[in-house]
Amino acid sequence: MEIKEDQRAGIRIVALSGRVSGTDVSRLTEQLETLKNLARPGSPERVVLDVTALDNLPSAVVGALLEAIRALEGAGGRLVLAAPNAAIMVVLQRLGVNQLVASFKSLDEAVKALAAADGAPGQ
Amino acid sequence: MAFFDKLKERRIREQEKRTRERVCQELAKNLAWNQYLLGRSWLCPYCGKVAVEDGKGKSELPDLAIAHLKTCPEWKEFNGITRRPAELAESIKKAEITHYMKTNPLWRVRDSAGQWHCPYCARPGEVVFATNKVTREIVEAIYGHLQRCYAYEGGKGAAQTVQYLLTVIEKAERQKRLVPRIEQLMSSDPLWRFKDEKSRWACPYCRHIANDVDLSSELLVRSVAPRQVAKHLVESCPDFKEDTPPGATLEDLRALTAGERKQAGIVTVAAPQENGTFHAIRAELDQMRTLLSESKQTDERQKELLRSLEDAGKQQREMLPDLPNIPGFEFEVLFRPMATVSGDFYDFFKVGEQEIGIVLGDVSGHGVEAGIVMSMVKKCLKIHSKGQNSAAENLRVTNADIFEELAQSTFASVSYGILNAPARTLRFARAGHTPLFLFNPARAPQFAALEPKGIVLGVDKGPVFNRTLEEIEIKLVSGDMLMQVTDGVLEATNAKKEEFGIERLAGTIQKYGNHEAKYLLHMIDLTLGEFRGKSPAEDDVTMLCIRVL
Repeated sequence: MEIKEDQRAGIRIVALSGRVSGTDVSRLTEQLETLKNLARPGSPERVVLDVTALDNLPSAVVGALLEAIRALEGAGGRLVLAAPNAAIMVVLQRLGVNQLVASFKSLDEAVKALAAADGAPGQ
Repeated sequence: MAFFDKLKERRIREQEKRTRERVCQELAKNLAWNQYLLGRSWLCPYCGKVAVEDGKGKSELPDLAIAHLKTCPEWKEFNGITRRPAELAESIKKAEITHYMKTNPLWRVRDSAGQWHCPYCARPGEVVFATNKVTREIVEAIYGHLQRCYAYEGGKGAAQTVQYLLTVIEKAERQKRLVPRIEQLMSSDPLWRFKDEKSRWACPYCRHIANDVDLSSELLVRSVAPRQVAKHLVESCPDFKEDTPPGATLEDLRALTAGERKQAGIVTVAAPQENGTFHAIRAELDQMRTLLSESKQTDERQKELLRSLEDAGKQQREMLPDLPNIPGFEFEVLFRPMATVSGDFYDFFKVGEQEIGIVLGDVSGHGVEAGIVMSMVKKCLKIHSKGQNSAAENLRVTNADIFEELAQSTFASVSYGILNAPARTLRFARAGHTPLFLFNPARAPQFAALEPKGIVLGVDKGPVFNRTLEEIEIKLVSGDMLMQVTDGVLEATNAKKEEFGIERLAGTIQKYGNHEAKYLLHMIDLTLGEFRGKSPAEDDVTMLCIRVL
């Protein structure tokens, strides 16, 4: 699994690609904890987790994902998923948390939605 | 003539060369060709018999194998059908069991009732035999036990000694003898049913407060507690003597401090109070988190935590619930924890006169915190199950109880069913757990993944959880096979990083679903192991199967 970070229109984009194996779980959990720690009152952080090229999402990391979403939303920010594939959606739906994790069909849509929500210029 | 003889000879040599090359290739890469009895003797992949004694690692193995193949009726010049590696592995295990039963006294230890005790976990297996004759039935039963044995670990576990097994048996028989006397004492003598403010039993001999003996209800006092008390007296009480009365009085026990705390790090969760507050559990959880954080600082603390984890894991395995014995139904469970303390759990408890609750769950993560959350969820479900005939409602109340108590990244997926055996119905709800699989060749469709909506426990305080949760009722018929698994099964991966997934599980259930529950679980386990290959298990595996007879 690879993790890359980028910025677009003031939005942090964390792109995950490849397959999350057992050894990657702790690395991904740490990454999500880093995102959670971005939550600070008065500085709403907007994050897109771009999973376009991610093959799978083990249920073991979903707890950390939800924690990051809650923390960022609690500080007025947001964390959304971009382009989850069918396998990832199956895991989110099985756990029932698809209702708690906002997702968009593409990275562009996700960035546009976050930018519009903030009133910041789009792409 | 000489020319034709030479030609024939040449053809034979070429044929033999090709055979040898093929045998070398198969030995190098084919799992079915690499099965060894007792790690030494090579098994023919065609006939499944020992073909080369002490063949492993020998450079002569290809030639010795060819010598056997030429006599093997099932080889057919490589056109025969090789046995499945799992099938060969099963034959090997059974042959090994027979060998050990004949040669190693450790494998023949029995209690006074003739019940065999496992050389690994020391627990009694479902095998009773009077003589030393090793029959096929005995081997099958021992094989079945080893498949489920947590200590055997597929042959990698450490075996005990004969002396250890005899000590375990002696203690178990002593406990068994004590239980009726303790039942009588607990029903008549207040000293024997004294409990602290958290409903924990206090020993009138050593005055120790037993965290695991829960006297919070009359049912527990009458059913579970006497066995636990006997266990404490025989195994851990320093002051107990069978013919001597206890040294403590009721006043002594009352004087024990209410706030007495157990050794840090040992996972035994105090029983939650019936009013639904969980201060005791919360304190346990906070204490454990502190310990976990401190453990990163010093070697001594790490050692302490490790010891505690081992204790907790042992306790968790010892506390695995018994399978229900309900006429017309067959229950079976396969539980294979990966970490010392597993996040997977299952339980069965009485809900009403005719109904039992069946729970299978999985707490995210492993280790101490997962173990505590697991205990908390189990206890909540059990407490709220009394008279509650809606599976979904029980999950709703449980979620409301535990939501505040869980760390933000921790959640529990739970499936909960209420089985009414006489009415042959199952009311089922699912809090983010894997689907309930139903297989019956007489139904159309034969296989169904039942997935009523539901969110995992602990991620939403109520509104979304309550709105989402659905309950279904299944009318059960003879031949139904209900299967519930944890995500360690579906998310198991092989070397190609593929997941086992629902389709492979469904295929295995459809293939073996007509057999008895134990066999089905065994075959799923084998299939899963074959699929995983050399990839290590990354999660706990639990499978619960109910067969309607």
